Amino acid sequence: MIINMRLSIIVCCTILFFTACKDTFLNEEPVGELTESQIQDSTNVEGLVTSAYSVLNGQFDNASNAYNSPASNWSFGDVVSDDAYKGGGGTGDQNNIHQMEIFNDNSTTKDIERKWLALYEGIRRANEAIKELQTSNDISQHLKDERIAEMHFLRGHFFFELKKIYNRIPWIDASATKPEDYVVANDQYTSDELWDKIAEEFNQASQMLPDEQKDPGRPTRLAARAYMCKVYIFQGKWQKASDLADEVISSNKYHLMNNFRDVFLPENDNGPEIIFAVQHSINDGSPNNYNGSIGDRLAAPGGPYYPQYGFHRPSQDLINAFHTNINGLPVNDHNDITLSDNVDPRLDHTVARPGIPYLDLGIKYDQSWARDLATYGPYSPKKRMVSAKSDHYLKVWPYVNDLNYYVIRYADVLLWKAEAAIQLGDLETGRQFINKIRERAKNSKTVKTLDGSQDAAPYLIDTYNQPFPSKQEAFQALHIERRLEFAQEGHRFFDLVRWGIADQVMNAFIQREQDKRQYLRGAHFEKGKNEFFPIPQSQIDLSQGKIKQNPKYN
Amino acid sequence: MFQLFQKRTPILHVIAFWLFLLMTVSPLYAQQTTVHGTVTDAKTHDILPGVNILVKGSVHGTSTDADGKFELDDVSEQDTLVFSYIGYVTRFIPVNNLTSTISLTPKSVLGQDIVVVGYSEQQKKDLTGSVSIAKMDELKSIPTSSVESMIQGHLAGVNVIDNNAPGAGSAVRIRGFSTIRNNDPLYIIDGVPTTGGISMIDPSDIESLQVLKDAASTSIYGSRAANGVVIITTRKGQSKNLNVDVTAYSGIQEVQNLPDMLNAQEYGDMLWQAMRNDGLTPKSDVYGSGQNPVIPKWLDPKQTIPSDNVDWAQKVFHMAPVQSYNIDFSKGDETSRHFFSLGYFNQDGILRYTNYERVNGRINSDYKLFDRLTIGENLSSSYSWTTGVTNNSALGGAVYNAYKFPSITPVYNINGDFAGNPLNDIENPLGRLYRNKDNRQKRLSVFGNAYADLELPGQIHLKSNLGLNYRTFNVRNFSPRYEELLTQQLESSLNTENSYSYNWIWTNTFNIKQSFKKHQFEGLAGVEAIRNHEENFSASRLGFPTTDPNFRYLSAGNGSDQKNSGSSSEWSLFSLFGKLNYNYADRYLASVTLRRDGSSKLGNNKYGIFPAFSLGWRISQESFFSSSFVDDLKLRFTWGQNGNQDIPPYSTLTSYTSNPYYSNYALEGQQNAVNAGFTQTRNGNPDLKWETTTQTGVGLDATLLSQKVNLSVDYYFKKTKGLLVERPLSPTIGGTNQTIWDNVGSMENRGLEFLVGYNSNLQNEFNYNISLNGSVNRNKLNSLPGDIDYIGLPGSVLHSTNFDQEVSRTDVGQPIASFYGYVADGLFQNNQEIQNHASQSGAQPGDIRFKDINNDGVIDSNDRTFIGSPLPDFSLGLNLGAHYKNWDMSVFVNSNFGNQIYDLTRYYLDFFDLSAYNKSSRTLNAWTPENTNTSVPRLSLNDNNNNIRPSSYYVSDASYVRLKNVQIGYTIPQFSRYLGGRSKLRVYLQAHNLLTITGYNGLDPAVGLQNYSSDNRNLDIGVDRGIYPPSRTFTLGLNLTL
Repeated sequence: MIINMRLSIIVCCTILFFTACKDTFLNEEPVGELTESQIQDSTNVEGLVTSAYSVLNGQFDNASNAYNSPASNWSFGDVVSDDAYKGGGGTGDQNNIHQMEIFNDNSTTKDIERKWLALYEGIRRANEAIKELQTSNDISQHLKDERIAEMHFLRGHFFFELKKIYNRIPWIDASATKPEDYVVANDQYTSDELWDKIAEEFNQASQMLPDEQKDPGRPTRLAARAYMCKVYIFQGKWQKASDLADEVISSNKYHLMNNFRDVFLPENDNGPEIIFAVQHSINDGSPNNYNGSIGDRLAAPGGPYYPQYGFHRPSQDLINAFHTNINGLPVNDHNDITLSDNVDPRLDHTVARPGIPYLDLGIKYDQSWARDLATYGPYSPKKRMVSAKSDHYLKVWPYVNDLNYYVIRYADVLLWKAEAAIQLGDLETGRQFINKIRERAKNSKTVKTLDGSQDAAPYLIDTYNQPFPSKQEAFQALHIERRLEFAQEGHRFFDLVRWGIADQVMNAFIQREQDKRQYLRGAHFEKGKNEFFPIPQSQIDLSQGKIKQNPKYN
Repeated sequence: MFQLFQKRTPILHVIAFWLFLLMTVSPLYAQQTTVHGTVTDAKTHDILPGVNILVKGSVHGTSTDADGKFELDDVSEQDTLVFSYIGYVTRFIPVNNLTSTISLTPKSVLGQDIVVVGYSEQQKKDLTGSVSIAKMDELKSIPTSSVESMIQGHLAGVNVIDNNAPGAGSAVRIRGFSTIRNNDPLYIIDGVPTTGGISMIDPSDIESLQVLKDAASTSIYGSRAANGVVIITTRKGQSKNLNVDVTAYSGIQEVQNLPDMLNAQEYGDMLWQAMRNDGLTPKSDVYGSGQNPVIPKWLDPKQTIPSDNVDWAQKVFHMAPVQSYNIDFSKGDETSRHFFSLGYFNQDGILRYTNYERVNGRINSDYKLFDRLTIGENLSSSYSWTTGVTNNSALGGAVYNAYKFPSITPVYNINGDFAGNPLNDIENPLGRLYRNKDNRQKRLSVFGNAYADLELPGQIHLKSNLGLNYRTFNVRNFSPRYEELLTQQLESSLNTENSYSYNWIWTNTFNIKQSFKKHQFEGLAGVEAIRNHEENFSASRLGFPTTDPNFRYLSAGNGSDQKNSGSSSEWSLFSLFGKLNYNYADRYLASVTLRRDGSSKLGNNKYGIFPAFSLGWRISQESFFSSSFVDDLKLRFTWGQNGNQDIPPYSTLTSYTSNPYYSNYALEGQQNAVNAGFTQTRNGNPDLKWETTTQTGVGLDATLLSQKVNLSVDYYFKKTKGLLVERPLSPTIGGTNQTIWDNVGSMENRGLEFLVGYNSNLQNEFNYNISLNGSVNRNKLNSLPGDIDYIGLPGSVLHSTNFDQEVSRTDVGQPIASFYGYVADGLFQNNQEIQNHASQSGAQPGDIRFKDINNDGVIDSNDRTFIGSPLPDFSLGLNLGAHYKNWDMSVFVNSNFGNQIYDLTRYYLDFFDLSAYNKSSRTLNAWTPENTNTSVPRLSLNDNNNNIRPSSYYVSDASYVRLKNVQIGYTIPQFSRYLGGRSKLRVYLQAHNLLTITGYNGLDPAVGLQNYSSDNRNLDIGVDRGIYPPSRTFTLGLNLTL
């Protein structure tokens, strides 16, 4: 039939038309994104390097809960130690961290997964940058080496954090490309092998890093040496640690600031005492100010100037640790102190006590600032808080500041030196370096009453003027000095673990405090288990059986 | 010649194509006599102007004039005349049977509906697919701006999950959830496909709304139709005389069934009880430290906040007005039809300071040229303002915050400012709503299409349709400075957000109808190109000098801390499709469709082919079948495949982007600036392909007892393979992109739907109708790859929405978004019971006993299991309608059975772990050694048993029966006497959501999604965190026709 023939012609033509214009129409070209070839351009590859630094502060996605993966380890290092309580609006507020605090956390606890993700994100970004730097033809060899060295430093940092928190960790390097390459066993290396690999990262970094960095955010050669020292401290390789500490100290590039409080002013956060810091920035054009101290945003103490998030609350035991005797030396008897007791002046720079003026706000901290007083007591954080009157503090949500978080400050190196010396039997060198720290504390400005006329509390501190009678006592002095100097900086728990005393200290602490902090009733630190956090369940589930859980977690 | 075609630009192709088509046809016929008559409505006997009359098989014809009269010459005695008129059943009358009055039956008479199916129309009797038809006339008066909400419960197998907030979204789920990510149907408005909601459409403009449910009907829409298709046709001019319709209603809405919180004294008492339970000496900053809690006179040291006793849940709600006005003008004749409408809708939310307001206009017109060419357009535009708040969220949700806010706090302090509360960090709920009141989201939408339809002899239609969907969005969110006791914002801030998107669709179709003897064929072939572009931008500043709304522009803020961000995306789709319908003697029906889609969102697997077929057997037409009881009986069978390609654009590509949240760093030590970094955008999967849904169905349609009873039953089985899932990768890959889009696993839905209706004789003075629809759907995730345990909400959203509680999982063998946790097995009454139970650390008498699911003697995370499903076992809708003289009445009852709610409001309201927040009055009945016959665990601040953990304690049955709508109307007789012409006035009274019967003791048993726009929306269903409740609404309305 004629009509049918015509019909078929129509259909053919129609199909012809259809097929003629489709080729470019369905092309997939991303808008606002760089392709894999564009990223190797010299300026763009610098962007990959920057991005690896970016995740240092624990912010790795759009979510507002970087406090679950904080750079400062406030939850992983302080809350689970004898220095701090979780705080917040009751035990149900961030119940996940509550479970950590009472050593009832498990592999599904949210922070345990978020922290892991943040740290491995850092490793991935460092690896990505290394890969692209190595193949980029567009960047000078010198700069390429330097940037790769920075990436080794960062990778070393992220692995160090993973090692101290999770212990048994899979090692991912720059050879990983496809998703399958990331499924790696966590018992491939022994603990010592892992420490050695981490030390090697810093060793490689130190070979190519410059002595001076124009950008304070980048590590110097000495920063890599200092970090390597820290690795040996954790590994208990005292001689190596001591040598590296000497190298850093003898360079004379760093010194303690005169005033203890000044160290924690944003104005000084790349100052002479800072060896490596996580750089924070606010009001920098980022939509939610996630480049600020976002991991610590829940520490806001309440009161008339701050929102009452009220987390990271100093423990009574920490306050008591600052008690000094008539010689200005630590009493360390765990008895509750009052406002009339002699205390180390660092106390009122470190924590907010009712009746003591708060920073430069011109008012006294009051226990009514404290959130859920009945559960978490009257004290609030202070050391790393920025004055609400300062431009360095963001007065709107998320109420962060631009004070950097110090990964390593010079005081750390001095006390590592002291610790290594003591461990090597040189108690006098140990005393000398502990005293350097106490000296500075002694000569620092103290917190004054509101009218500025006198000290806000009876401050008394002195150096150890007698040789330590025994290694035991030297170590005891070192132990307490680290606690006082670095309180609320996220190190305490990891110190207790590496000293092998976490179980004694924590169970004694729980025993002492459970009448005040009743939620601690029933809490128990299990030796051989709670030194490390569990491997996240999602990691085990997605590892095709290659990942083993840490002992005693199920 | 084909070579030549290929080298030309697309425009030239089009011209050549059309020219070619014109050449292929030529007219060949001859005529003799003249006929005339009058056309009337079969029911009302009104005259019908503008009725189209054609000689069958030709383009020769005319239409009726203003008096319903027509005259047509050059017809032969053997011809058949075709009388067609929108809204009426087309009649075919042989010339030799013609009477002087020809009556047309309105389509709404059952069984005769014209159904708009994919790219064409069909009579309902010839349908082989499964299609639900909404009677929009009856639904338009429902006091909501949303068309989706109107059809809720009326169509079997179509579930509408409503957000309830004014102007907010609803989710339409057709035959269950067929996938994890996007389960929204495809909407076709006047032939133009669109996704992402249809809030721009004014319900009054809708002529018909049909839902295509089975694969055979939807398959022609291919890759976007796996979730069903909603086809909306808007109104056209019908009458030769100018027709004016005015509809208006106005009403009042109220909240009902508010949960009961503790008052100021009771809260203190319970706090005291909790502390005593913990062995503490009760004391509180606010309630003192006495034997009994004491309400102080003042709540702050400055004595500005007097103590009070406020029912905050009550306080944030109010009676709120809703009103809607619509006027339309229409006119139509044989050469042109016009429809013009204007509408205004304004709804204040029952939650104070929430509002939705919309104005919209529409012009639909078409023109017939040279007898054969119809060109036309449908163009609508709407502008809306929404003031909304966060709801159903554990953090920041307006309703949940009202529950949690201490009763002791007054609304205002003595200075007249909103009072702060002395116990917790929650902002004064009313203050928060008030401060948000001017933050209006503005949306402009232009939606429309222009088309040309060329009719050629032999019932051939060539149609070209160009559609456009353009939307802009703007909001300026301002937060003023405020200071309350424990919460404050010391600087004002403004965030401005702008976005726009456009979407163009060009569709060309070729349609032919042929018949010889008893064989009827209808063929359709077409091509469609779609492109989508969207772009957004937002910026903010701090420190505004005043809160005056006139200053809420970025430049007024402090310039030193400006922030901004922006992004864009594009995708396109190119498709070929064809359909063939075959009808033998009105007895055997068959239909085959095929579509091939190409998507820019996919890389190595761009193209997908989606076939379908359906068969129908009209048993009642068989000679062996004769029954006076059955008028029509049809058996249907359908099979087909559909696709889903709804993944974010570029999911197949690995690329790099500078993300302001996590890519930048202050490398240079700057404190107010950062260096931009580049982070990998995603893990691209170049092998990603379509998700395919295969659906098989059988159905039976019957009309009985002289069309008084109609019945329709459908069974379907739907299986989705290669589910598009953002699957997790080993976390060692890092947290920024820990996932990859992949085709994994499968999901199935099987179900049964029925609709049964009874209409009494329409001619009687008293007539009535009853219809009952019901559906059962069973959803199940069939499989996941071995390395994926389950699919859950990403950790990044759990905090704000769920307060870090993981309460639902989507897992193999379970329905989507099933509740997951421990099984709460009553309370321990004494130490003996604790000792006899599996080891549950920290348990004391009065604590919840959790079940040892794995029987290993220890209660730990391995004892979690599935504890409920948010999906109903079955749903029923019952419609009753009646007319008596000038009175009419309708009643609609809607119900769901067998689903559960996870009541996350209990997290704050039942446990003193979060002691600073107000509690539910349930806690008055908490376990104590004296009060043991209770299900509420003992109160404790130091919940060592972790009673608060996710468990079946939170899960309640959510079955309900709701008297959804009752309407009584009265048509004023002989109204035309007053206004002349055909004018008619009907007034009505309506009550909406009048009564709900349920066992759930939260605010409302119909809890929807947490979020109606997020990609994860289907993973979080039926979790109550203080939803925006549906309102009980009473309206008075009128329909006036001039």
